[in-house]
Amino acid sequence: MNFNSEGKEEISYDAIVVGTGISGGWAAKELCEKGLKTLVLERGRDVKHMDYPTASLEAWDVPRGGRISHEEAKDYKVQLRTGYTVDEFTKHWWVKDTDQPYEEVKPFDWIRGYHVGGRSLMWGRQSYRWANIDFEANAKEGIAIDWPIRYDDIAPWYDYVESYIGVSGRAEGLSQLPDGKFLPPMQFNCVEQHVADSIKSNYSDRIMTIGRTANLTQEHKGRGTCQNRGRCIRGCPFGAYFSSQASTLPAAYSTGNMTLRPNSIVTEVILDDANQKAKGVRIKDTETGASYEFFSKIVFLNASCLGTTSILMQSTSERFPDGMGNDSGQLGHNLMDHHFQCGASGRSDDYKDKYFKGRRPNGIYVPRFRNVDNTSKMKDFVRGYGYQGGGNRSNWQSLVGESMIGSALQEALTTPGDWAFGFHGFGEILPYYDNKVELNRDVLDKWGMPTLTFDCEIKENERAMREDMKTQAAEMCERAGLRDVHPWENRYALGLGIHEMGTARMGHDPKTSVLNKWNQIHAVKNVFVTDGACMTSAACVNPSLTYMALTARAADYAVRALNNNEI
Amino acid sequence: MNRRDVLKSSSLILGYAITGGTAVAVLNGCTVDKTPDWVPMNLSHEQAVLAEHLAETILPASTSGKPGATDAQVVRFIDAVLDSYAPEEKTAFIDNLSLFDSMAMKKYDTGYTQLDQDQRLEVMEDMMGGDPMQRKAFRDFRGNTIVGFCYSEVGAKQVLKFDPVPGHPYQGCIDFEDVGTIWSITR
Repeated sequence: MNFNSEGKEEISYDAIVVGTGISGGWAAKELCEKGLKTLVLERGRDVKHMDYPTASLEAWDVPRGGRISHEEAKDYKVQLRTGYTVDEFTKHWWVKDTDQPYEEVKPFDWIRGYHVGGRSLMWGRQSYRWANIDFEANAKEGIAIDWPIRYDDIAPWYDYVESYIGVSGRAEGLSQLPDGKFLPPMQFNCVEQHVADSIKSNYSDRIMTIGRTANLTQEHKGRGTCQNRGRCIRGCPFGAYFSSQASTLPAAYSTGNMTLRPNSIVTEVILDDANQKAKGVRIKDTETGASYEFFSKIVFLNASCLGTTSILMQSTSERFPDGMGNDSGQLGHNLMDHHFQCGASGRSDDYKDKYFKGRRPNGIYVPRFRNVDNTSKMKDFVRGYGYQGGGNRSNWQSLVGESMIGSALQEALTTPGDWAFGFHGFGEILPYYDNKVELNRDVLDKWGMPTLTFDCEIKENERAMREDMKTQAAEMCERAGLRDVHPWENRYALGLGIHEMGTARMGHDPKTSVLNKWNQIHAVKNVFVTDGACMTSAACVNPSLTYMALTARAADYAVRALNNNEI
Repeated sequence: MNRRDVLKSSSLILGYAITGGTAVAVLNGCTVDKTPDWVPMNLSHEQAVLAEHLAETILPASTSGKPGATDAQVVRFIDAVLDSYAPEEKTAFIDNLSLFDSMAMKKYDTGYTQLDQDQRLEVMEDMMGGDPMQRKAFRDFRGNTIVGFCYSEVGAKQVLKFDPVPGHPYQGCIDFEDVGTIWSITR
């Protein structure tokens, strides 16, 4: 998948795709498969499938059992805010914050990976469909603007992408969380089954199901079955979870139509004044520092929500002094994420003679049950949340904080502790115009590019929802007969969910939105944005599957429009 | 600690001739492996010797032959992991090692490494129930000993159960006796 540099570098293509992550990989695959000569640009280095240097390393193979050194941690101050992203096994997938500064008027945790495949290599893989309640909510509640599409518009594209990537899960027949094309579900463990049964007998408004995850429970499209190593974040030698490397980029490559150019930061989309269309992009080669221009009939921006937004903001012209496509003034506003870091956990006294085999890369899911119909209306907040989480049996790590020593400790090391179970809420954040990101031309990054300044926070609706997230989680634990039930809440700032979205939203009206129902910039019809930036609201489910479906749908439309000379 | 154990610990820990005052006494009569295959990065020789003995008290080899902290070279982990600490935390951890020796001096008028096994356990108990600094010294050292042991190849494979590729499918409710010990891999 290297950039083909034999002979003279081509400068004109049918399509340019900016970014190789979850949505960029899909754009590349779809456009290449439809016969377009496509230049795929990636700002970071190349990473090929199987090029996962730590995939099979053990704790004793790396320094400090895997902990990053204090000295090196200074380069990853923001990335470390998650608590799990940066260690000796994964540090090569995350940006050095020292190279990529940004400013925070209010805290924003911007967790990023710049390389071919982007965050498709490290994502959480949870894959849920949106429902009509999600697409209709803004209009019904008079919040922000209406989505220009409904579930029926995207449903066939969910079918299409799920069938290709492979999503394991169980059909539950819920209107608020539509079923998909699932591979066989993964198993609950003892304590999870117990809690699921308890919810079934104690509640009529909710269920607990196994997580719907883009991990393969059987061989699929030439990729291997999940071996339950639980090390997805390092890259999977079996190709058993969806990543651009394992799935979409090889498909794009095999058409012969893709030219992949890593180390290429897109600095702007070039506007053709004559016809008010984009004629291509300008890039900076991060290895040489040189600038190049590449030209194409259409451009897909898939640089991630904030990457794409930044590129549009940098693409100024007489026609677009405030950034390409920003007639509405909405570019950079309505920044959303999912708020989480709150829930409840407890311990079980049962199943002492039971254990598990495998580090299942998946947990449980309690689909949204608040504000899904008239009987579930909440007084304190609109929208809703779902719970992820799961059960596990404590191991030696739970001994670290105790005081036992000697032969008693030796014995305890080989005896499992209690089964523990936890619910972890993930809630919807409303689109607030005030939650925004701006271009900062005063602070430049390592490559001399402008940086971003964030000003965003959760507000009353989210805070009220968090109370309910904690209370309901604790109640379900109690009703399941768990002991030591502990409702908890940790610091949350936008961004930590790594689901940033909304800063170039879709809408019907060019006066209030950046993109139309086909993800086209209203005023620049041959530029498409199909990453998180396009989202008009956030729902409460993990968004990647929706980005994939929107991308495939937009690519299909783009090629038809191109062939009909409409763009 | 019997002579065999002392020999085993000493050879694993430093791997070359020990000249430090406290170490010499306990090593009288022992043949030391002189292979210079490990030099501590953060601890001094004497601190490393002390640390190894502390770790072995916390997590001893069993009479039935199960390896302990020395077999797992836990002191090497402890020495290395200090680089993940902020400088002031690193210094505090290292300085606090001397509290074990002070406690030994106070109780038995001799350094920790010269105590017998029962006396070592006594010192540990006293540290565990001591003043806040002593308790912290005990807690931090003990924590690192456990992590270092379980993250070692010896601990992971000989005491815990190592299963790098569990395979398909995940099994969520099997009999514990089919496994018999705890899985070693946590990530």
